[in-house]
Amino acid sequence: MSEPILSINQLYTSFRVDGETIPAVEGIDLSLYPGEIVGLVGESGSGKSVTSLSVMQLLDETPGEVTGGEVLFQGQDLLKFTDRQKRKVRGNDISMIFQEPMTSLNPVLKIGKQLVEAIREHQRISQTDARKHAIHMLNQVGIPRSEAIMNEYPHQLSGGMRQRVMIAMAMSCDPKVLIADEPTTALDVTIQAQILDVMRNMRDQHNTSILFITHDLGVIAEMCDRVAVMYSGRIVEQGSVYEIFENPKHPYTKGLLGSIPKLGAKEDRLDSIQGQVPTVEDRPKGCKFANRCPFVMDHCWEEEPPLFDGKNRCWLHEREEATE
Amino acid sequence: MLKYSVKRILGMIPLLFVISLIAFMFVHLIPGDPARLIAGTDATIEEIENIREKYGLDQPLYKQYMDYMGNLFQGDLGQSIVTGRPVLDMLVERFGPTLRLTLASMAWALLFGLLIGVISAVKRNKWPDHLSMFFAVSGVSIPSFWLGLMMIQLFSVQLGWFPTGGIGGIETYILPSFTLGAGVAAIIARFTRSSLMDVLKEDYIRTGRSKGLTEFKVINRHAVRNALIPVVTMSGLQFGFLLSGSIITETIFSWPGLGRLLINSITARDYPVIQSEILLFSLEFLLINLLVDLLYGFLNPKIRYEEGS
Repeated sequence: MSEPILSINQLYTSFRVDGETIPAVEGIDLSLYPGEIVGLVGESGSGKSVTSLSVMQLLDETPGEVTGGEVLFQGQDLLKFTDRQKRKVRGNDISMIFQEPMTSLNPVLKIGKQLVEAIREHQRISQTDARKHAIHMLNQVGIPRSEAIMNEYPHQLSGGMRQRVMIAMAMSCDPKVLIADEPTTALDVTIQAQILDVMRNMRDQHNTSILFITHDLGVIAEMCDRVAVMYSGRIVEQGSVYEIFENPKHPYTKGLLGSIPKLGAKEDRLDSIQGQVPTVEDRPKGCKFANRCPFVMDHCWEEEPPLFDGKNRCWLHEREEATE
Repeated sequence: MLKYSVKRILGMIPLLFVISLIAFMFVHLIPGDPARLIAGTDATIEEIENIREKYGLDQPLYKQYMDYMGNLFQGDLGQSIVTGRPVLDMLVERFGPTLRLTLASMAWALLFGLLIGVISAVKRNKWPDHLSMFFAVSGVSIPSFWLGLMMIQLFSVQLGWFPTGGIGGIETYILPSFTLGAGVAAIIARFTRSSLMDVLKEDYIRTGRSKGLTEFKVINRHAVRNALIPVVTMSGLQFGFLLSGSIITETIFSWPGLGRLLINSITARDYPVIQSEILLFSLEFLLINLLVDLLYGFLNPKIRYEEGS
């Protein structure tokens, strides 16, 4: 495989709340290759969104701060960039779409204006050409009567249409990487499928790499080439979609997969992972999943397992490695 | 929008009717007898009776109200009991100075209020914010009679830069308009700050940043206009208050405006003048409210008033 376009190495991000430092992301390694869709999956509070905001360097509005590691984009560390350099990357090389299409567009500006603004921020083209390009982008994401929509306000569009507009806006400067933070969570299932289609088309046409953040394993199976499973600010397992779905290794991944209802199976109760994600103060000293793990061993409480083979963070697989 | 405005203006008529009735009754509830006041302390009972008769004060209250309203519909606001001049002339004469003072004060208030509000929201909890909010709190809490007197003391008496009072060229506007605008500026600043701080937490602000816009563009294009929506309502209300004439500021600076006319009329129990002023203030407020609502639609496309709505 070629060089990764984006690689996150040992990223640490923490929040400062009332003078206390609360770690949100603790040592993440993740790579994204050209044209690849990588899923980042995990429960709420596992650090998925913080990871994406750390990459975009948009933590300013939160009390968060990257405290270590590097985010290499085409070999350059984004974390060392000046504000000016960061702005050149944002929306141009790396762009992002968000969970809430209803509130992610400015309610008082016309759609066209918001699209043209994104284009002209990074490209030296005339207003007329930018408008033409914006209309072209709207067509690409499958918006009918795109020219009319340029003159409409966000509240005149449905959630699905707004998310299409967001995708058109994010893709308008032909970025190398698109970060999608739960882009379909707020949408109806039928609209979800359409939005996923649009994103796949975008990837096929522009060879954009997509970091797809979601808690929906169904969406991962449909969209992604590779998956990373996050728990308590760490990646606990990663691999190809096939590997993860066919042969999950980490008990947490198994639990996640087990909690999906199976078509045709007669079940009175869905399986669920017992307990809740521990708060930062209550995180076990060793493996962070120890308090909820059905296979927990004494050793798990004492020492945190490394990422064995770069694939999963579970002591059960240490023995496997040794015997192989 | 025209249709909407006409509808609203027509809707004001019954409201003004009710206001006129309330104003009339309250004015007549003020203790004291205008006829006695005009006649002076050593007037005979006959003289007082004559004055009563002349101004219709001997009539029953409902009759007085009917006469008043009858004249009002013919555009006649009656005559001042004190000066005998038509009330309409007096109001027109006093409206100009108050309007001009109001506009000057609002100009200060908006300039400083918005500027301070935006700066402190953007630099929240840093020293520019603390400094701005110190001025804002001062502006709200310093009473205008004190501020006015201090300004006269410093700028007129000590430095001799501006006149102590009266109306004339532009230099006569500086001190009174600043005195009047300071409090409003402080209110606008606090309002702008909290509104902008809320807006800066919105998702579309993050979208703006994720496009790679500079912080200035994010605030200028995306945040301020959204933040202004509640500020407009509040500024309109303040504008209405100022337009009713500030009794204190106009008195301190000997400004020939509506506020001073009102206080003088109340002292003299000049019923026709008081009633007409109250009616005028109500009309001003109603019109300003309409203006604010129209401005709202301009700022927020979601509530734009479409034809026929």
